[in-house]
Amino acid sequence: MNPDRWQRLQLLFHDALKLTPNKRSTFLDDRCGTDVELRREVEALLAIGNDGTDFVEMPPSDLAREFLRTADPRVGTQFGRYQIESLIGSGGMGTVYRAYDPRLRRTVAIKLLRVSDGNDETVISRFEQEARAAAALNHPNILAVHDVGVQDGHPYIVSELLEGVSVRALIQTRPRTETWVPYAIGMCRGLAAAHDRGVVHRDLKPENLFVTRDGHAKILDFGLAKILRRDTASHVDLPTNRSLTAPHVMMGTLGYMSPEQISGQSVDHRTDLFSLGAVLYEFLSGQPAFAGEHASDIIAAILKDQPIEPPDADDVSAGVFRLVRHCLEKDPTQRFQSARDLAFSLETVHAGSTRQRTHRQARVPLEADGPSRVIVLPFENLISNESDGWLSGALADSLTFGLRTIEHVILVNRQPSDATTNPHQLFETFGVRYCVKGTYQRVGDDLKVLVRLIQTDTDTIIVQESLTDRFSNLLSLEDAIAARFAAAFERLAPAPNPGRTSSLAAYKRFSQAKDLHLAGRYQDAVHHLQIAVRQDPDYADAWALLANSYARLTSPAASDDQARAEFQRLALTAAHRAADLDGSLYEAQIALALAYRGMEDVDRWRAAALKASELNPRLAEAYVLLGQSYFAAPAWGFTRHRDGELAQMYLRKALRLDPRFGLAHNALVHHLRWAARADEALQAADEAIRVLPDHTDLLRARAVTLVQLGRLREAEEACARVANEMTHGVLEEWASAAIDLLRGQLERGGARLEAVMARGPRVLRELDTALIYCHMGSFADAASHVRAACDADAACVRFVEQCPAFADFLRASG
Amino acid sequence: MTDSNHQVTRLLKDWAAGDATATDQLLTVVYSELHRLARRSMNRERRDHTLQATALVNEAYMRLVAQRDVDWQSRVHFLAIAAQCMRRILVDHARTRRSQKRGGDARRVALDDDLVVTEDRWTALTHLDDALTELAQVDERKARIVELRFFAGLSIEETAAALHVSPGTVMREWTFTKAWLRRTIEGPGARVTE
Repeated sequence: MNPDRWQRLQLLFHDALKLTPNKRSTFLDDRCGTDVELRREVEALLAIGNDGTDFVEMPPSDLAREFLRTADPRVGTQFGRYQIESLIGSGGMGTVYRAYDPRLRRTVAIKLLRVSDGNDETVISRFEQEARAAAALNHPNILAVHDVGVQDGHPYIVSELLEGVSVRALIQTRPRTETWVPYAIGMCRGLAAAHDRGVVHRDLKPENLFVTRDGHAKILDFGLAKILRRDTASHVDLPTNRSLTAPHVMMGTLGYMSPEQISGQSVDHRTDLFSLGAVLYEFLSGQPAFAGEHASDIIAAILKDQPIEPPDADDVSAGVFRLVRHCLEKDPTQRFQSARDLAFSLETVHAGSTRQRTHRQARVPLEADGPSRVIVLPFENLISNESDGWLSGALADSLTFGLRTIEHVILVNRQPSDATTNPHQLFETFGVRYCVKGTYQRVGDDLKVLVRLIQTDTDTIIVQESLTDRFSNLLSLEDAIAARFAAAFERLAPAPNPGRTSSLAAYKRFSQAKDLHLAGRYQDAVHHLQIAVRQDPDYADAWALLANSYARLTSPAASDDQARAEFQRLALTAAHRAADLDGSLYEAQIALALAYRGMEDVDRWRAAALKASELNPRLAEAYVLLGQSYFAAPAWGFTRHRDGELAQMYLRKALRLDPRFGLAHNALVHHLRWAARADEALQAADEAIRVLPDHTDLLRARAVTLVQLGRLREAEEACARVANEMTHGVLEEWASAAIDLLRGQLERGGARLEAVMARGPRVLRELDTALIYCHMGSFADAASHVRAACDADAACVRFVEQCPAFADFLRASG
Repeated sequence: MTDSNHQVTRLLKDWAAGDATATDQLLTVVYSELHRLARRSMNRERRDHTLQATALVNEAYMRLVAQRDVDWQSRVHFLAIAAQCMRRILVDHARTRRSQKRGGDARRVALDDDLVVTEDRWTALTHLDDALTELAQVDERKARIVELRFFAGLSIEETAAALHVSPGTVMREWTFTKAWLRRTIEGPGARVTE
């Protein structure tokens, strides 16, 4: 805005402000004249007025407060070879950061220990000795330590970065006994492994125990207690007066110390069993086993008091309590003598409890024989307001996302073609044990959402949640729904929701794009996503979907060569952007894999797909991409490591996770065909079409499989179905040509074929065509197509040699 | 008196005597002092951080300046510089958070109502920063007014003194600027719209 105009804007604003609102319009008519733009600007500013709720009227004291809580000067700096990314936490022992290790290209946790004599050489060497012994422990239930050392006088420990919750946080959610006992068993196993190597923890407490997002218990900080209490030179672990007066160092720990530790006697591995018992007691009752206002009260309680049985204990909890009481014996010789014994006892109680539960019809949707399939159906808009239609998919997707890390649950992908919402039918057809049905109504700025979890075979409602919030709070409303459902699935949902945006506009675009993408309208999806990433350039989800849409546009059927190259470039850029913004976003890795697949870069394609499957082990798409990278069919003529077994394994895994994944079925059928296992291919195709009766790609796959098997009459019917189902595109034209050929109309079919072949990469179609000619006995025509295929991809030679359908052809042509 | 105390007091005097380069040096010292104060406060591990942005600025002033040796003008100049630093510290932090918001805590944050509010405020802060940068290109003084009022908690009178204008002018411009900022941050035209 030029200075003149800026001045005029202010003058008009102030002058108009002095007038009563009803006189302003005439005033502005007079002063602005034909300058509509200026007038609109003044009116907009006046309309904002002065209602006192301005952001700038509130000094950022809350932000400063939070900043103080989390700010740390090390963030963003280099520490040794590690780049410190953010502060995870800070406590008596030191400070923990999330950091990146560029050498091994992984994210790690670094703990910087707080020691007063960082320059004292004996302290340092003692630290290294102890920490290395602890670091040598290698067990799934013990935090993996990668590196220990001293940098500029700061002892540090580099370990794997855990995602999940501390047992401290877990206890606060008061989980059911059946839920946490498996974690306790894991902790015992970790302890047993350490005790076997003579390492005693000495400081077990809820803060040092952790449950990862995939449900593994981990013990943290082995050996640290001994290092940090170096002033007690002997084996005596007596907390000195000095440490007792430093509450942040000792107080948290005090309540979990064993009597022998408190009273300064020598300790062995059984001290850990006492401490673990105290932790388990807190799990059971929600209260510390030994509490008191002053340190002396706590000490007295540990030395004298017997823990009280929680009053509301059910059978299982009562059983566990008896074990806990045995851990908490004052005399070490009266306790469990090994962590292994405790683990065994806990397992026995737990096994009894799960048996009991299946008897009385568990109210939670967990099945003893494996994970449950769950589908989240698109939400129903109770008010027929078209402009809110995008919410239907958006709410379903966010709930799917929020539930994705829950154990024992497999989420079946939403597809727009899913017409069935009838629970019985979902159960019969797809084996979906549970479905989530939701409705929403938006009235003005209020959004009301009702969500039900329904057991499909009995059509009963298991959980029902109703939430109302302001529409502008949509994002937190979605989180709340997901959290409540996650709780209904009897698990914490510590899953962060990565890739989120703070821009509602961008989110809306993204959700619209997602629907379009699912409907195969990739161009339209791209349009919305481009706007979304302009609105929020840090929106990783949108970048990933954008990359995915671009990658879909590079398919030969979708675009010409020049456009493909451009789409490939755009797909790769967007995918990298998404992956850079959020390294844990599996969609970004999927997009990368798709982009590299388009570029025929098999190694990177495979690596990205593998990463995606690691980030989300239940993601069918990742396994399809992996399978494709190994599968036997010649595709675009590039060479790659082909491994039929791996390909099949990955594809079948994808289908176990999502039986209605059309792409996976298609890939499997083609893989089997080109592995010269046409019979199995036909079986796979029939199975696929049973689940997805109208899937055109599958219909075509079945048709060409029939050709390969020489079942020409059925093939002709199948081709006719393809030609009918599809309204445009190469496949339909090819199918029409194939029908001509199969009916013996060689000339017309041949001409049609030439027209089809002139378009796009064609290795597969060359071979399919050659197959038809072989069956028709036209070996000369077959030969030219076989040659074209083999020139494009040498792998075809092997196929032609192996495939029985070509046997006559090979004999005839030598 | 500490070294930095000496240094800041001297720099303020230099500035009062017309040395323009003193401001740059002051910025550096004040920025690191505010950061240090923030860090120290964290290390204390106080559960109840009652310290506010404005209190932090004042604490820095008390620590860094020998008050008897400088005049009122110099105090205001110091606070103006502190406001700039405060803006930089908080906005840097907001942007770091944004880039790291996919970290492990994202969910927890979203579930805690109080923190959701704070999360919005962080986002709003970066928008405010963008808008102020834009505003400074057209009208530097208005941007400074916001900086002083918002980030350092200066009163209308103190702001007027810092900028060598009358309180009436500050009042007028403050009213206008608030409306303009709100329109720029929230209203149509400022961000990409439909």
